[in-house]
Amino acid sequence: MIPTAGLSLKPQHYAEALAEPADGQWFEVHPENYMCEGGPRHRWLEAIRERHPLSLHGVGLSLAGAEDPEINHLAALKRLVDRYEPFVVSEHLAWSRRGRVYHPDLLPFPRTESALDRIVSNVDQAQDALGRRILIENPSLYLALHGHEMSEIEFLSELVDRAGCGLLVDVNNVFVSANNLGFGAEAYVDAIPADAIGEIHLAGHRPDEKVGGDLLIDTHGEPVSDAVWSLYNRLISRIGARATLIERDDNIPAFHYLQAERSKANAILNQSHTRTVSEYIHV
Amino acid sequence: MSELARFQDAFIAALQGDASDLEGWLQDRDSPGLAVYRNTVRSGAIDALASIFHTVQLMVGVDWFRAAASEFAAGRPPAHPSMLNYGQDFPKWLTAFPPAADTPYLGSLAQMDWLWWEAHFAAEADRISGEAIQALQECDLAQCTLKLHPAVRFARFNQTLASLWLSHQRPDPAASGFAIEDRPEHVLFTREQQSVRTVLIDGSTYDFLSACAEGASLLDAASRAMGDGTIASLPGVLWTGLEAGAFAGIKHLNGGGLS
Repeated sequence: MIPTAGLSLKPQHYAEALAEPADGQWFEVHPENYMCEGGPRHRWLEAIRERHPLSLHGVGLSLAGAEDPEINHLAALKRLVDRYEPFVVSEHLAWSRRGRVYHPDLLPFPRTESALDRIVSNVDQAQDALGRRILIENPSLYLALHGHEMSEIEFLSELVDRAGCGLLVDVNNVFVSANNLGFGAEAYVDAIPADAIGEIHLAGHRPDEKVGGDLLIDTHGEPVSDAVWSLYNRLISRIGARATLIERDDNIPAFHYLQAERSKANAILNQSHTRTVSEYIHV
Repeated sequence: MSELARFQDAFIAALQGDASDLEGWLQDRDSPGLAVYRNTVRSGAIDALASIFHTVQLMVGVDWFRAAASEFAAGRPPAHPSMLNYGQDFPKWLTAFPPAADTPYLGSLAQMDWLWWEAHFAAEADRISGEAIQALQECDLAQCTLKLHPAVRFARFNQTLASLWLSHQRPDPAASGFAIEDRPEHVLFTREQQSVRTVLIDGSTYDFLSACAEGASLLDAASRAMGDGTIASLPGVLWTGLEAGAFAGIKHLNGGGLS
């Protein structure tokens, strides 16, 4: 099966998502929004899951923190994994919890050897608790830090090798971080280990007007930019087709608008598949 | 303490305004990047509160609400990444919030927003029907109790604040002109398949539901609801609860289930 493009599932689109034909359409949700006992959200998600594959994209495991993943949160995530049988479970290379306080963001850290040891352990614990491999997403970064002992790609590659996880490449995050920290986005997408990539995210960003527009913010509230489409094309040309999400969490447009972005991603995925097949035939 | 833990503590202090411990890690002390993280963390908590306490926000306006929510979040940050349970103590906090002194009913409106929210996400359970309740005729009222549906929430107010809250659930809420009266009101939240239903109930129904929630026998619940130890008016109270889908089962107090 050729990997296809899917959409973030938002409550305002439940009825349209349910009515969609099942032609490769899949949806992704943040499991934290479904960590409730019952009610309409679960009724909708169950109905939609009966027709479409689902991916769970966590934001709260705090895997890049100095503490073990919180056991109750892992247990709640496991219940959702068992209930909805997602084809992918993913999380972030970031932290959001310290002690008993949750900081609702995906926060940075210095990529050191000792941090890697801790994060490998955290990913191990998460995968053991969930009974499956997870994908780890590259973060969007806003702050240049001292103390990094390796590049993000070196860090992610080591993490994949040691923890046995996969990667979720957020192309918009690559573009935003490259702009904010001053590295080359194309070199980054050219260097990510292809075999580890299990999913790709595409989203929108906007300049932070408060600081004169030099800093880009990963808002998930705008259309995917031309520059990010171009990077995506470059990545897919190199690694082949991968499940790709049109990620939208804010400023939610009409469903058909997101479907149009999804069609654009599908066209790139199909093109890649056609190219792969024709190269194979001519060998 | 690991270096990662020290970094996290320094970063959190910087989010809260003291970047001195983080300076050794910062390539540019004047970078606006720290403000981006600070704003995201703050707005994450505020947005979660705004989605729950929408009636309060409607009453006071977005700017006032967000300023109040920011102050609440600074003192009581989220403890769990699922923000569905964040803000349980916001109604009580809002009642004591000095800038809300001129609008002392805000805490009660927040309480109703919270009860609606809890009802929306509560566990699923079957409901008993009018036919099933006929089983009551066959049981000893002193030995049976009605189990409330998990989504049932109810509250009592000394003023007509439930009506005020209800008037703000319409698509075109009355912005002004609602006169708060000094008489008690009772409100019941239940959940139908896809939505929460909110109805005003009388004091007897409120007393009856309160007794059921405490596990009292039907005889005791009826006695508390009617106040005179008779059950002559019980059918009306039962019907109100049944029609709202408030009951999940009839339970024998010695442990057996009847329905």
